[in-house]
Amino acid sequence: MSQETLFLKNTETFAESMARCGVKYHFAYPITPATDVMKRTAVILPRYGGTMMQMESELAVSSALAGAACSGKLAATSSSGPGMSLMQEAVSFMAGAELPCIMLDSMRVGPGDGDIVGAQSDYYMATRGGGHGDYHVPVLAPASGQEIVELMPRGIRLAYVYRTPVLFVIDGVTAQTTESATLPEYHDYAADYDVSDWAYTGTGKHPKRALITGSYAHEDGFQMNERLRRKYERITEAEQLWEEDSVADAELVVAAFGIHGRMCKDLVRALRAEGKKVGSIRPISLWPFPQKAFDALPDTVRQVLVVEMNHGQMVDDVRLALNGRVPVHFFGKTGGDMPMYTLHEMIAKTNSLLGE
Amino acid sequence: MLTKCMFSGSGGQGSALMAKLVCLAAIREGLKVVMTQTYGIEQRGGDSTAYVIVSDEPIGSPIVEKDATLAVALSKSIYDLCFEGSAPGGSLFYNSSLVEEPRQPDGFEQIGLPVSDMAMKVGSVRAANMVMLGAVLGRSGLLRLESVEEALKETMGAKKPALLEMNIKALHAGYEAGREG
Repeated sequence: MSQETLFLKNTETFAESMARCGVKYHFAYPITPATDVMKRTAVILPRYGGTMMQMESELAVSSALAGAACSGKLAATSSSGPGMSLMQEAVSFMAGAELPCIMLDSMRVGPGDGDIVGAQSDYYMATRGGGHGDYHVPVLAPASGQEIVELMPRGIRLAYVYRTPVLFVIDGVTAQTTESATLPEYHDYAADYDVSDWAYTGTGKHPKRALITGSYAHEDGFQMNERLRRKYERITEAEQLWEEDSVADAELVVAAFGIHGRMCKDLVRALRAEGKKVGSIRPISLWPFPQKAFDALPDTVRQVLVVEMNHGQMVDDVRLALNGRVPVHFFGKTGGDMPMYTLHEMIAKTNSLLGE
Repeated sequence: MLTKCMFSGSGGQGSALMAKLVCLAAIREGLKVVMTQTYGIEQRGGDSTAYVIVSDEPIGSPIVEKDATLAVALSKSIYDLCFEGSAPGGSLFYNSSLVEEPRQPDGFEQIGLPVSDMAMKVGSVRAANMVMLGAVLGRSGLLRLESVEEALKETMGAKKPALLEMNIKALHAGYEAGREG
């Protein structure tokens, strides 16, 4: 397929991006607001030599994902919070066994089955590993269809360079928004990486033995965790990603990811037009958290406001990043017919912090 | 250039198709578009609103927050929502075949057109949405008529050639009325 601009739901854009960047196997189980990803991959993946397989549950999805990843081929899944919870055992295994894959959590209101409307309630689960053990997975949070397209090659690179599951998180409102996106020509990014020293490639022509395991004993366990520690340190140093706007002379900085981060563009523009020194930081990599963006904040910054579609999760990382330098305020909402604060409400909150 | 639109009607009136055509036509013109859906439990025959933002640069907030500069009400039951969702300086187009007692706007212009009656004259009341879309284009100059016509052919042409002709007639009738009005 050649480059083309399409009008798609962002879940569909995610499917297109996976297919055009070399994902060969997509395992999934239907759940709002992620089902549209599998509906589209079912149709398009065969055109690229791949396939979508609907499994009987998310437990089966995650096991299939781990199995396919052992072959070195690029496999993926897409789900929402309740499904992601079920997958965490396999994600923990893949982190320990160092297996690459792509995952999408199209976030909705939790906990439990929660509600099907969009939310950012899975920040903790995404950034704290999610399953058991000392591990992280790189987490990318695109805020628009076009950014999904732009981040997919990066996600695949992270998965193969660091041999790790990579998680995309998108709030359900962004996931279900329909917008124009320019999709790239097909390129199999996974094929750019040599997996021959670890992947199961069959014994027909290659009588090599490989061991992929998440199970270690004594000294081996220590060495495995030390290896993971060094890997996470390398990722933390090299892979922080964020977008910032008008921070250089800002007195108040608004930090938000996903849809609220996108809305900050309008917030900053509106308040700057009134002469107010407001800037914004939009974390794109949620793990590693963009510590560097906060380290570099100028001394002009007096306070930071964090806006989320939850009751306060990323705000913890902002507080850790700032380590008491300036006061950090929180403004968040989850659930309801409008499951987030509007731009007007964000502006009003910012104005109140500015003393107006 | 940034226009925030809301296209509202009762289920089956085709407000969502209007929104989709605006988006497809805008993409043809190299513009950026975002469409969001209404939240809540929808039901057959209930009201529906599609929100669209059209811009010549990347779009920030994708949400239309009672600040539509271009609102369309195809039915009486949705008129109040559109009236209250219109921004100062904006335009509210309403179907005067069904909305008999429009309210007095404060700060935005209001254009009433009997699009259901006009649609019946070109063949079917079901084309009222296309008459309205034509009128919106004629009046606002948001997009070129040709772009929307092409989008209409792309969406409807292959499956329903007979309906396409009537819908294009309806679109043109609305466009002329919009330019005159």
